[in-house]
Amino acid sequence: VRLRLLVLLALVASACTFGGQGSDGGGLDPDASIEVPGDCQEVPVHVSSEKVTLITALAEEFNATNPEYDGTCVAVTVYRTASGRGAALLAEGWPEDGSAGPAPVLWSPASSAWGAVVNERLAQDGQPAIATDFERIMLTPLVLAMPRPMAEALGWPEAELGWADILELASNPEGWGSVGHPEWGAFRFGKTNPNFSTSGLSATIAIYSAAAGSTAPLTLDQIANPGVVEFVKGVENATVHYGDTTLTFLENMLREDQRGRPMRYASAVAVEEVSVIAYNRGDPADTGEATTPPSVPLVAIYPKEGTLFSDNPAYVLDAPWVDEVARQAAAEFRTFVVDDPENQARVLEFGFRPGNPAVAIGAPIDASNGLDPTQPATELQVPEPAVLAALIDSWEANRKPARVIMLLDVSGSMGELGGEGRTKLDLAKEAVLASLDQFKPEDEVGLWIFSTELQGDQDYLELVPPGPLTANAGQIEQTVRGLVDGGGTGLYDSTAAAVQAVRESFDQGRINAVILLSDGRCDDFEGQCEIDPLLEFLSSNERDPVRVFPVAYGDDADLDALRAIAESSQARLYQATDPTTIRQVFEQVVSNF
Amino acid sequence: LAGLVVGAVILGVGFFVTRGPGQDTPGGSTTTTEAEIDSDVTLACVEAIAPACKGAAAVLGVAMTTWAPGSPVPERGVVVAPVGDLPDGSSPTVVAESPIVIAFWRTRLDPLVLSCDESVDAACVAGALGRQWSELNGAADWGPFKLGLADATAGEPALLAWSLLQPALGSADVAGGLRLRSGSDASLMKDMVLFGDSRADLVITTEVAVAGQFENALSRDGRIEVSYPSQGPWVEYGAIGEGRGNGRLIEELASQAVAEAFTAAGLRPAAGPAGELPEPLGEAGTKTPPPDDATRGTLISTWEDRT
Repeated sequence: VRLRLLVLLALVASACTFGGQGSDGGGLDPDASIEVPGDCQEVPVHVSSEKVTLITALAEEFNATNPEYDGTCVAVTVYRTASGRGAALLAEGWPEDGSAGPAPVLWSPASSAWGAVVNERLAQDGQPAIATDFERIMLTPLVLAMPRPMAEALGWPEAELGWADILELASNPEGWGSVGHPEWGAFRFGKTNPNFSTSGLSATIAIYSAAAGSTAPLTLDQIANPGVVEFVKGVENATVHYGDTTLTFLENMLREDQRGRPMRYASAVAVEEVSVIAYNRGDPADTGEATTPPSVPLVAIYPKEGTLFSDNPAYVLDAPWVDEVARQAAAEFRTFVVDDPENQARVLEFGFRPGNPAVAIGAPIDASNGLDPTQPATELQVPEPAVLAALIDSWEANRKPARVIMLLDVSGSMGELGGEGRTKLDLAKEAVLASLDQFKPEDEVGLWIFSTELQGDQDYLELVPPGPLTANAGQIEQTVRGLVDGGGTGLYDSTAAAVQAVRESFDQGRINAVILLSDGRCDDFEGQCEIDPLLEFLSSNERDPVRVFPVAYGDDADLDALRAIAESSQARLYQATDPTTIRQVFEQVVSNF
Repeated sequence: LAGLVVGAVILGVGFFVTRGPGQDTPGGSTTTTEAEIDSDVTLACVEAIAPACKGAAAVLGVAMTTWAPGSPVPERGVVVAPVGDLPDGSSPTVVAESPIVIAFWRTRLDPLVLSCDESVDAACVAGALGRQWSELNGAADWGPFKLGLADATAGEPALLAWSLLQPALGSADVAGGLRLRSGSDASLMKDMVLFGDSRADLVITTEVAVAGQFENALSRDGRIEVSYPSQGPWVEYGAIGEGRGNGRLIEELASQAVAEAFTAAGLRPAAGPAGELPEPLGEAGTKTPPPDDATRGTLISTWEDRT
């Protein structure tokens, strides 16, 4: 029986996202920046995104030593491959068409849990394990990152805090008022989707473990326990939205900080320790560019109930495509990265704890960044695969439900060819229909379309009002299949109307959102394409925020406008510049619910 | 085989070379050559004793590499590894040994001593499994008692560590308390230091593997303490090598200079420590005989059943 997680891994494998700080599942196109001299053998190294800059720099230094094995010169190349994607490709067979780059000799996902997943899946197919020989490059624990004043209000740094405190605060109708800060409103929690993100998976395991009151690997009985489920629901209900990368939360928090509202968007986010450092530099995406630090820094709470590490293993794969020269070179490169104290000291510069125990943990992992290098006190363990699959199923059933309007652009330009001989509208229809499986039955989903003058002067039409997917799925499917293109792009008034509709029926117990898919620029009547009133409208309701997740579709989408819409509603912009990727991108969008 | 080699060590004086077919023979035209060690001969050691071998290699003027059990023996090299992990049919010379010890973070010392009638031994560990530190006179935020062991199916040191604990377990379940499980004694200690007391409070492993991480633990604001069983298994490290010049290198592994290098790194030379072992290593307990084949089979099957 294929595990649910592995099915989800396959989903991640085909996904395409846009990077992010921390060990998230977002897949990125392979991109080797190192050229291989013509007479040398390439030794491909695939690493998760948070390590690309570091490992690429070290690979260049290693290659400069002109390494040779058995008379063959070698060159290490570095590819950015999301952990889940790499795991799925290794388990299913690395594609030979080059779409994912050359098959790795050295593979470094964010966590050794991914190596276990690969071996487990191969074993199910009767194949030997390939990810067994590893050394850890660097470590980072999952933490609850919280604006310092909020953490202090809870007793940080003296008090031992954890998920139980989060539950108490999240469940209290007074919210932050219960600890003397009514001005901060309700407790709002940011956590990524465990199907897409290592951080999200670690946080979900940690919440279930805290609920079960156990630091031992979770069991099926614990996951099914009604008390555990109630605890999990209590924490999840405080979630602002989910998503595929922690970067969304950190960038939105920073933006609100820059607007002088540092405590508005989220009260706590489950991220890796390294992300706290990057945020406090004012550079959550870790671009290395000069930035202004936030006025209110984040501090790390190491949950008292225990947490998990991302241990960044480097596997020299025992795979059929790895010849002896490549194996030796990969092992030597790994030694260069892990055993050389100078190289391990550079790991610290990136905010990670060194994987070589001979290198002490020091700045920036210290109190100046709100971190405690002596923590965590207790490490949790990843459960057995069958339990992990049950945990994800349980999370999907008990996560915060959503109320979403899908607002689709059906303007004339959607009738243009998008690729594979199909129109952009046809590709979008397929993506919408496929995404319905990602919602849970209790989610309320509606369907709107927009172009221009669809109903009198009105540029939009409500085709299916939001309702439980159990009742709406059939109608949505039928309606989507019948959509045709035509007209202009009444982008702004349609967006405002959809958001207003969600606001009018706002449900505090749900994630309230609009998914906006558009392939063009607003070309409505004069006065209807001024964006500032829309942005002001989107950011005007602090208490009952409706998130707008725009998808910039094709080459001609108005990226700037859509990004502004996402930022004003504290959501995230997604891009499907190549229309044939819309299905994968839509899956990422729906990961927010 | 191990017993015979130990016998050779005990009976021998100075050099403990045993020569197998195909090895160099002393005398004749090679005498002059054998007075010096070829610089292209490599000393290949398992990772847990790599620091000791580095010291020895520096003394002898040869290169040193790490060797993994199951790997081929290099042509121009001498392999030093646990006797039980050397290739079948080899005739090793025991050059060093290391007792199996119980190692734990210093913060855990007082609670353990209080909870275990002053003696941190296998029975103490078995009794702590499955309990919270709050029940063991420790701090509540330490969570449960967390044990670390190397995989007993993966090598001699791990099997012997399991042989120390297993008789004390009774019917106790180990799986819940076994929070750190590594592929070798070296990686066990590395993980203990890397993850700190969040992953393991206490491990059972070779004294030399523990010694290899003392300084690293200190640099990470932790200190490791060692408790010696009054009697228990010791890992014997044998040297093998069949190429030209290897016999001379094996002979020199019993020299005083090498013995001092071994001792300084926490590896006990076969003839006994030459100088002071690094702090806080001390006097070890009595060595029990290595398990026979039947006992080894039983140990592996209990490991697989109980963990």
